[in-house]
Amino acid sequence: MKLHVEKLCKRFYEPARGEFFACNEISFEVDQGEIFGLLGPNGAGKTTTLRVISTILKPTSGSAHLGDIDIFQDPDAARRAMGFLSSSTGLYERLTPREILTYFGRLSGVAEPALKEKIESLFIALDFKQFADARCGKLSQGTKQKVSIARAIIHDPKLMIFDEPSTGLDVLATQSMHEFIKQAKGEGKCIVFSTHIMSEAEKLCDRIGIINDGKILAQGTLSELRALTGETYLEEVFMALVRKYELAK
Amino acid sequence: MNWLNKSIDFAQIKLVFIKEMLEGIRDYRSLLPMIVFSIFIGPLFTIGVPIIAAGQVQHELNEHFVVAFASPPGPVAGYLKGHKEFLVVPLGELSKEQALSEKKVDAVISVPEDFSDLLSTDAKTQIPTLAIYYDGKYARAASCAARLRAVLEYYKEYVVNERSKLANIALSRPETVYPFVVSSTNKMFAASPFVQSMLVLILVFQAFMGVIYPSLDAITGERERGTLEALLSTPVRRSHLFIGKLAAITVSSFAVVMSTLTGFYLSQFIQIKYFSFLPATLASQLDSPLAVQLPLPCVLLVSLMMLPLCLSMAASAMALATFARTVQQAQAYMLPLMLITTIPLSVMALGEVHIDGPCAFMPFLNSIVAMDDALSGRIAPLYMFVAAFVSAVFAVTLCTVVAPVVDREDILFGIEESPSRRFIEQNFGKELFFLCSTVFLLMFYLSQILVLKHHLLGMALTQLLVILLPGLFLALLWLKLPSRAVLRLHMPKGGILTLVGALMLAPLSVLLAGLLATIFTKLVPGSAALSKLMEEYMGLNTQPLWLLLLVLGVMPAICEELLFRGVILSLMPKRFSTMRRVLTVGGMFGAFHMSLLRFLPTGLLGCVLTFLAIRTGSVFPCMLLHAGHNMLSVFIAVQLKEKIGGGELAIGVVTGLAGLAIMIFAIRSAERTEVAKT
Repeated sequence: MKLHVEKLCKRFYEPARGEFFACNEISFEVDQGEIFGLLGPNGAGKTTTLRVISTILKPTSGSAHLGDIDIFQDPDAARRAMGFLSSSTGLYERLTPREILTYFGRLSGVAEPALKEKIESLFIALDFKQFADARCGKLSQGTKQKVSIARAIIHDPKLMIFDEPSTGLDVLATQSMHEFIKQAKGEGKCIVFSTHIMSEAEKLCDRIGIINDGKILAQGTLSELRALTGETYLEEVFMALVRKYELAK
Repeated sequence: MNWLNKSIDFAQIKLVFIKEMLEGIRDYRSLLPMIVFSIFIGPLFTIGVPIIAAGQVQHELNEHFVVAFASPPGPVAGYLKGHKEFLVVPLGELSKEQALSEKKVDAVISVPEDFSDLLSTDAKTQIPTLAIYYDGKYARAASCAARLRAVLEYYKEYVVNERSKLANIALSRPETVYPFVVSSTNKMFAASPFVQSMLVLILVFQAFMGVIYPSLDAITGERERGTLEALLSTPVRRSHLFIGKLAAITVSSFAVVMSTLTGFYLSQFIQIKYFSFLPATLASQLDSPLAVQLPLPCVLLVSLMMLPLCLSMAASAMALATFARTVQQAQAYMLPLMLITTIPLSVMALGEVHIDGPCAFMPFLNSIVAMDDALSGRIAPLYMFVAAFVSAVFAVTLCTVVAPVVDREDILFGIEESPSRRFIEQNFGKELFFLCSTVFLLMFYLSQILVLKHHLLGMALTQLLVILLPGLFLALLWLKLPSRAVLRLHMPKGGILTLVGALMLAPLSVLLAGLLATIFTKLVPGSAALSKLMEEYMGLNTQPLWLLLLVLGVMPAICEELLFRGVILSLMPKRFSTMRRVLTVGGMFGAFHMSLLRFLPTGLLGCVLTFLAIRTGSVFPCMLLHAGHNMLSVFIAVQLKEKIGGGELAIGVVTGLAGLAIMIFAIRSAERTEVAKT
């Protein structure tokens, strides 16, 4: 299953700023077993792009397809096939991990006997079985993160959308998040991943889209981007592209 | 969100509902005051109040107020001896001030010299005064003075009677005044007066308490905890999300109501037990005024009436809370809702409103009045059924109106479109809702006060402050919309002829409105008296005609038209058909006049004016028709004293029909010219 995003636009309005496009004609493709990174500073339009693809927001224009599914025309089918996770994703503090996973699993249409097995396997895979029946409010940050991951993949989605998943995590939690993303890639999932951390993008992504001011300035593998700008490090590549864009503007 | 195209998936709704309930039940800190404490409200009132009262009675039976006389007491001393609550002591060497400040006595009585059972010698010039002195610093002294005053009032009565006898005046006074209850109330449904006096008020506030927390948590809480995005990225339909959450809020509210009712129901048995511990004399004194009786059928009827009320409150609270960015903000939004809740309660408190009348059709008010009637044993099954039905329909309608809040990006994520773009697409639902509720609330509170206090001036101020200002502020200053387009300040389609036609239509519309009002006066008792009262308030018979025409004719035509046919009509959602816009704006126009009597004529006029505004693209014909209508109505009331002959009727009908014909001709020819041009 392949994700194909075509000329995606989302218009915003702020009284002080007037109308502007938070994402402006964004197009990219992500293959199965591929990690596509959206790299850009805060306010570049990463979160909006991912929110639109995950159907949380409606697009102003443009299209997105996941395999045969037209994401904006048939959002219910698309939601069954995608998982969304961001650093700001919270948990219901008065529910237990088991209850949260059951709730989201059922909402995503996972059939009952399979759901139970899936939940048990996730407890073991992510190593938090001992907290399965504790209230989420009492869990450590790291365990909460694991529950969030389990919540996002409970329905075995084909497309995983990660919106700055490691922001605010410590080194260990970041490391295990990276491991998890790599594992998902190994399972053949399409992965869209946004970050403002250059090293993270360099480490994880197969292809990178440099995003600024709502636009993708360039996209390709790291070596393609290096060739395009003549710079070596991703940070320099990024700066070169932004400078070029500012000049063109 | 399309409710009709897709079938309802009850499994999804059940999932959301169970999760919400589970979260709610696990929140012990909220659950404890909501459900558990609610059970104790009944016993607290029904046992607490008798305990306080028993203390008072006990005091009267066993303890004494110490009193002294500052003058020869005469027969007053003998009279006081009969009242055991007072112990009369001599003042001795002390002055009355000393005795009081040293707390030797609670009160000092001074009896005038000629205050006796003999005929006063100089009754015409000197009115004898029985004076009671007490130290205001002490509560005990104050209660002593109050009791003394009450007792001596009886003595005074006795003296007057004696004097009347001596003067040979035959006074025939009734021995006692005693209220006898003769109404044949249904004992199966009637609660005791003590319960009647407070139960509805407590239940309504409890229902409100029950919606506050879960409604804050429903959407705003999800957003604040960061769970909203995850939830919205699942395949759960947003309408199902809304219904599931709404059901949980309603159940929470109803649970609070039921636990309160249970507490009251049980307290009647607890109270019997409590009374059995009291001495018989004490219990008998408390029994009649403070006894709790709440028969089971009465409890069932009241709980049935509370259900639609809980649903309406849940929907309103959820919609309001969702507008807030944070839970803290949402809490602040609950205050206006609580204030609105008090309005039907105060109407109920008037005591003269019953369910077997127009009030059965007023949502919110009907449930409250039906409960009040039920508690006092006034059972009107048909009207109560109508009230329950109307309330249920209202609650469901309210739900469908507020349901789209969970599908709105501007509300959920603060993502807005620019006002100019939204004006083209007419996407101003939120602002329109805000404007209408503001104007409605201002009409209810400010306008009523202004008109009652300042009459005609109040009316003028209402037009400017309540009707014109909020609309202009919202459209021009807040949303910065183009004024000509929003207020429809264009030359109408059909030009001058349309304007002339609109003005000529006025006599016909006055006749129709008059006819409707006459029919309504016959149907609704008391409406004629209400109109008369309104006439007096507006000073129709005292103020100069030009002023009346200005304030009641010209000003509403300008202000109301700019609000209704300008701002409100322009902000109506684009998806509304012409018919729906006409009915909505017309209906609102009728409702804003805050008078059941005038709803039909004003609503109908509102529909005509709205249609005119849409058809001609201009507010000016509406202003002319509105001004003509109002000025003619005032003229008929003041100059013709409501008497219209056949001649006037005929002229009115002919002029109106001619106006209509001119307008249709002018608009059609303008349209033909337009088509020819394109």
